[in-house]
Parts: sequence; C-alpha cells; structure tokens
Amino acid sequence: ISAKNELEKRLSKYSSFSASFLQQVQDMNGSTIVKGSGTIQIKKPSLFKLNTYKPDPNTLISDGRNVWYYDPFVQQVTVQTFKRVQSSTPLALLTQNNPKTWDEYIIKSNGNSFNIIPKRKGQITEMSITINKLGAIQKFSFKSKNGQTTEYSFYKFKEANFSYNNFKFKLPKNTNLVDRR
Amino acid sequence: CASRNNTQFKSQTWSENKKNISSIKNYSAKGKFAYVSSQNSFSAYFSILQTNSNMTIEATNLIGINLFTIKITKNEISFYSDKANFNGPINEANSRLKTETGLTFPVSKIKYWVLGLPNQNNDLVFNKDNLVYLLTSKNDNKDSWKVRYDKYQFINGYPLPETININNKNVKIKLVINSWDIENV
Repeated sequence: ISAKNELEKRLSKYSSFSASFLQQVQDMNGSTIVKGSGTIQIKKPSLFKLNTYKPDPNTLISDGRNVWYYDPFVQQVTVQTFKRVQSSTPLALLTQNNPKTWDEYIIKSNGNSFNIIPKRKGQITEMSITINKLGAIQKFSFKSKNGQTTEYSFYKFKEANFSYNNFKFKLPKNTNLVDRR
Repeated sequence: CASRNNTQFKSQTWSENKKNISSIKNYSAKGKFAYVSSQNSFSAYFSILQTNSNMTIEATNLIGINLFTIKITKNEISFYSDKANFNGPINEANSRLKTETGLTFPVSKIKYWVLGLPNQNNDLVFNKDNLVYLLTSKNDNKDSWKVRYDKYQFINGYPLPETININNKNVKIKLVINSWDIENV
C-alpha cells in the first residue's frame, strides 16, 4: 500500500475529533519564536475551531464558507473565505477528506510518521504528520521557505460529534470587523 | 525564560536607570504586536533578537507562518516576506519599508524604544520609578511618533518594558512583551 493511501486510510478513521495541542515555532537556528497551547475541534470536510490560550487567547472558526479570526488583543475580527484559508493554512489539510488533495504532494512514510512535500513551490516547503494506525494524530509540523518550523503536538485526541452550531461564529461586542474576502 | 520578579529593583535616578539599561547589549524579547491603521490592521507574534549591533525581528501569525523577517545591521536593513523582499541602507529603512510593504513603522528606532531608551532628541516624560513613561520623537519629517510605556516588568534587577504603545497620527502599534532574556543570548 502506498504511503499516500496509508495516510489517507488513517486520516479517514475520524470524521470529527477534538484535541489539545502545544505549538512551538522555531527559527532556522532552532531558537524558539513562539510557544503556544490551545484546543482544536474538527468536523470534516471544512468545519474547524481553534482556540489558543497561550501566549494569549485567539479564536479561529471555519463555518465551512468563511473563516473568522477573533483576536481580543486588537479587538478585531478578520474574515476570509474558507477556500483561501485552505490553500494557505497547512492545518486545514487535517480537515479535508478528499483523496485528490494528496495528489499534489509527494508522500513518504516511516512508521507512523508521514513526510509530505508539496509538488508546487510555495511558502510551505515540507510538512509531516505523525498518526497511528487507529487514526489518532500525535504531531503535525510544517517548514517555511525561510527555514522557520512550526510543530503542533496533540494530546487528549478523541472522537467527538459536533453540531453545526458549534462552528457558528457570533461577532463579539465592540470589535472591529476586517473583511478580507 | 526569565521570570518577572520585581523584588530586586530599587528605583534610582533616570540617568542611573539609563546607564543600567544601556548596558544591555544582547537581548531577546518575544511577545505580540498589533498594527492598526486605516489601510491595514493585523496582529502577529514577534521575536526580537539583538546581538552586538545586529537585530533580527521575526513576525509570525497565529498558525505559525512567517509574516516577515527584518534584519538590521549597523548600516543596512534587509526585509524578507512571502510577498516583498528588499535591502538597503539603514537611513532609508523606514521609507523603504513604507514603499515596499505599505507599513509605517519606525523600524530603525525599535532597538532603543523596545528597551525604554530614547534614541536622539526625544522629549521625555518619566513615571514614578524614573523610567520613561512618554517619549516623543520629532525629527521624522514632521511625522512625530509618541511612544507610551504603560507597564514595566523587572528582569534580574533590570526595569524592562512590558506594554508599549507607539502611535503617530495614522498608525497605532501596540507591543506586549511576555518574555525577556538578557542573559543567555
């Protein structure tokens, strides 16, 4: 079985899950730029909700059509189309369940870790997913052109069934809306 | 990273504080910044690394993707991002940044302001600890920046800014520094 099919098989074990994560962003010399933590909820193929706690609270919600980014630090909500976010946010790869998506990547596997190289040159040069046979995702990381790497370590990964309402975004009071669609 | 104890800080005169802070040659400061203007508003995590006379500023978005990297040496600025790249002499830093990226940002002065130090002829207002509360920089072709230090934290006896607002008539920049390292850098 090819690495691509094996990855796709494992990813398709869960259509909806939640997990807590630790995030670490490092520059090309390995020094830490950001250390964060939060939770993520995904309902394939296009609904997700990411809440960060550290270094500060943020919310990123996809209701399937639009992605809403609420940042209390700036008292601002930015909205963008899901399509645009999907193509520029590696994390969105974990939400989709269309096998064709993986045709755009060269995939190699080594045990539970799958190395994913985009065929098309872009800001993201390499990704990797660590996922066991039961479909539980343990790690997700990506590397940018400038050598910066971001790694998400997931824990408390579990199946969850969410209503659509869970991914509905309500504009908080006195925030400024920036529409980037 | 360094903790925020404030037991060791004894308030001194401004000139003693200034000498003390100016002795910090190498440091790393990490946190979040917001940039709000009529044309463009965004926030990002930043990491500033100053070693000898070289400064690197990394800006990263929520997901961990690099927004831009600025490298400043004694006489040169280099800017890298997915959309624009340039480098040029340091005295054109602010103007090049504006023309190439649309960002109005006093990048050449950050090295001083992030420490709570004035750069050249700034008007200064002090707080009760004889640290800078408000700094006004006038010489930027009539576009004066007001830098307000709302909060300080005390790292190994050094008073270092935690919340800084850098404003001019079109742009509001807020920096919150949640991690200082002035030793092992």
